Amino acid sequence: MNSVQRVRIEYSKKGPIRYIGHLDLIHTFFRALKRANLPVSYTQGFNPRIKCSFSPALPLGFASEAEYIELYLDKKIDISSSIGNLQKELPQGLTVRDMEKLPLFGKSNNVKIKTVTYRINLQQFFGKSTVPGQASKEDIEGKIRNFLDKEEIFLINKKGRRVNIRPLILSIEMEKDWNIRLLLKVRGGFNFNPRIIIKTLLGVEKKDLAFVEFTREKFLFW
Amino acid sequence: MEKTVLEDILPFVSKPGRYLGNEWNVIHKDWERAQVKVVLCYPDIYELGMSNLGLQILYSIINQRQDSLAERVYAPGLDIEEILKDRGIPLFSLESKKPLKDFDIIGFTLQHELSYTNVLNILNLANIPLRSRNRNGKFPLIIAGGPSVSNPEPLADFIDAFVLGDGEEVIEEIIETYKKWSSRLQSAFRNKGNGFLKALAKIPGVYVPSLYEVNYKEDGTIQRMERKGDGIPERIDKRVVDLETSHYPLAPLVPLIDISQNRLNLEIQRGCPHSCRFCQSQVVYGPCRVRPKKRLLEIAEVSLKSTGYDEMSLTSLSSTDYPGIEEFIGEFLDCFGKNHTSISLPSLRPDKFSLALAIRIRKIRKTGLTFAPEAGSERLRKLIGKKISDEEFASTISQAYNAGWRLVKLYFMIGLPTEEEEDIEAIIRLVKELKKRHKNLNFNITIAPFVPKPHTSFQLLPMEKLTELRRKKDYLSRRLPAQVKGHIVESSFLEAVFSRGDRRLGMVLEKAWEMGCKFDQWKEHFRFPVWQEAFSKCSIDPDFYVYRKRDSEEILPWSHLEFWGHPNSRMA
Ligand code: SF4
Repeated sequence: MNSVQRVRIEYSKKGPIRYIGHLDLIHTFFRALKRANLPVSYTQGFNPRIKCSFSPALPLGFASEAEYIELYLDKKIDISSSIGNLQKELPQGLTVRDMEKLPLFGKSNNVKIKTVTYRINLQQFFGKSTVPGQASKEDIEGKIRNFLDKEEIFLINKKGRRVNIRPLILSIEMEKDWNIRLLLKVRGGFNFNPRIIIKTLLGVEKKDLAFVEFTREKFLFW
Repeated sequence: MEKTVLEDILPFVSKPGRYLGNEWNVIHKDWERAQVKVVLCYPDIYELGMSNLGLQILYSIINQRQDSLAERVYAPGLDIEEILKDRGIPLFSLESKKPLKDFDIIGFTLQHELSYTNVLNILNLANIPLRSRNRNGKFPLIIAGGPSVSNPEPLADFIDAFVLGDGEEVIEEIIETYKKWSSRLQSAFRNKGNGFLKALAKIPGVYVPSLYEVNYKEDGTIQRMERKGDGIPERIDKRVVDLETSHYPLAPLVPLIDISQNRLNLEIQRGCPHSCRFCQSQVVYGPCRVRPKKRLLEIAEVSLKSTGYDEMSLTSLSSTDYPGIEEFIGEFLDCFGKNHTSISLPSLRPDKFSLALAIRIRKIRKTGLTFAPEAGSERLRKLIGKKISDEEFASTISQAYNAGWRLVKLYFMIGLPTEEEEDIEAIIRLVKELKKRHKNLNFNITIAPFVPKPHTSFQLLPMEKLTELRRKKDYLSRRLPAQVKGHIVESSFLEAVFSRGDRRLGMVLEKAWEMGCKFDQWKEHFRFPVWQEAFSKCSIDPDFYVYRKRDSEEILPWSHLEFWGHPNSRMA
């Protein structure tokens, strides 16, 4: 059958389900779509799969307010009732925020993403961290300034390559309630886990980041 | 445990998804309102435990009762174990995150002997004394079922009651008995008046080891199994349920992380119509019974909807023997195939009929092809009860090749009774012959040592010597024109000790666990030298259990446990 409709389902990921990784999440969604009985399209061929694309992988443990799926359908659906149908079939922590029609043909958002914003909350970090000494808001701001003052910051990316990530950082700002907001350019894919940047910025060990809460807030197209 | 405590742990463990308890169809019942709280425990990692059908069945049965709840726990990974110990957090259930100690009943499933150290480790992590006699009524009742209960004696000191055979009905009877006694249980029941244990022992299929005393002869064999008091059964018969009416979960748990069998399990048949003489499974799960086709289609329809799975495995010991399997698969595919649902069959018999089915199924999705001829020569196959000729086997393989398969998995055993060099050569000849016919056909071959098991025709026989097994395994690995995977022969040795062992092994088990043994079935954790040391510290000679030929008059540790019932009878 030919697809007759394409929709984007926007959802958030919060709570313990943050610990379900990208691939597992895809399967969780596939099963939820099946239970919700949405008329999803399948790919042709020997191993038919649900025709769709997911927003770029989210690192394990990250919350998100910006995830989406672009889904092809064999039949037109009623958007508002479908939101409810799908929501009923999703495990706790996955919440459909919106569903919208997309042109049937056209590029996926994935290729249009230029920038991602992250919110990084340090409240728990200072409450439970094993890092000696308490930092003040001013300390953090100082660290951010030092960090941004550098012209080059070399870090190891996912593929194990040393990369200068300074040009990727559009901004880092300290906001209220111990939140840091990070705007990160995505050039050549999502090779950079913001955790590495924050670790370097704060000058701590990886294990100390356990209580830093990372939330993907938004995908930007500029 | 407060849920926030878990949140504090998760960032530090490598597979946090195992401990969330947020599977689809998970059941969270009101703790306060349940009179009997059961935690079901699979003493191995989550990915294996979640794939186990028996546990899903019991979970569903118990949770259906108004008066009870069932939760789950699996063996925690080493990383989380460290954290729990460091922070003094007792092991908790996945659903309510309550300490295991707060439950009324802990039910273990014993899938194989090498999980016994994990049982002890779990009790310990739960702050529960290991030995039954050190637990009073404040601690949960500890029960265990599953295939290894065919000889549970090595665990006799640790488990309060074993359940023989099918668990569907007996679990409810245990809960009822527990309820009757629960008001009295708060006063220490186990080491003083053991009325409760006696009441349990009256339930058919329940074996309470502490009500029996074992006396040994000077040569180490059993003199007598003495009952401590009246009204204790001399012989315990395993339970057998009627598959036409027995409970089946319609909304099974669906994990959110990948597990080893990540698909819907549809048990179409229990037991096996064949009677391979080495095989313990047919004894444990027999007699052979089928679940009626009509019921299966109903279950499939409801549970595919409730789970969202797109693959269903038709499970049983020998699925192609299901009467009318061809029509069944046809009907199944008619009903669900158009909805992009595929079927898979577990290991196939190496015959043409089975292969024809595999070809049929593959129309929807490619599934692997696995055969277990077990022995290389026709003679030896005949002796162990695998009645398939070289000719038939070869032509089945050719048919598979012609149908497009290029990789076939084969299972062989070494050290079978009466095995000669010739039989080992026969394995090589068989595979070489097949390779000659089909150059592009590749094999993955698994070589496992034969371990004589209780309640089988070979239960009295010695296992072959380790040195010989090692030699044969190495020889085959070198000579077979295939990818060869060999079991660790030392772990088969340990399996042989415990599968036919007696109560005295409890000491060794505890010692080995104290010395750090756990997850023994995992290559990377198995430490044979430590086990050897544990045996010698307890002055117990493992060879006694492994290499000794038993006399037909000998009282075996499992002589009082009856598993046969009606050998090979077909109830359907
Ligand atoms: S076919 Fe033979 S080995 Fe397989 S389950 Fe049946 S009796 Fe056991």
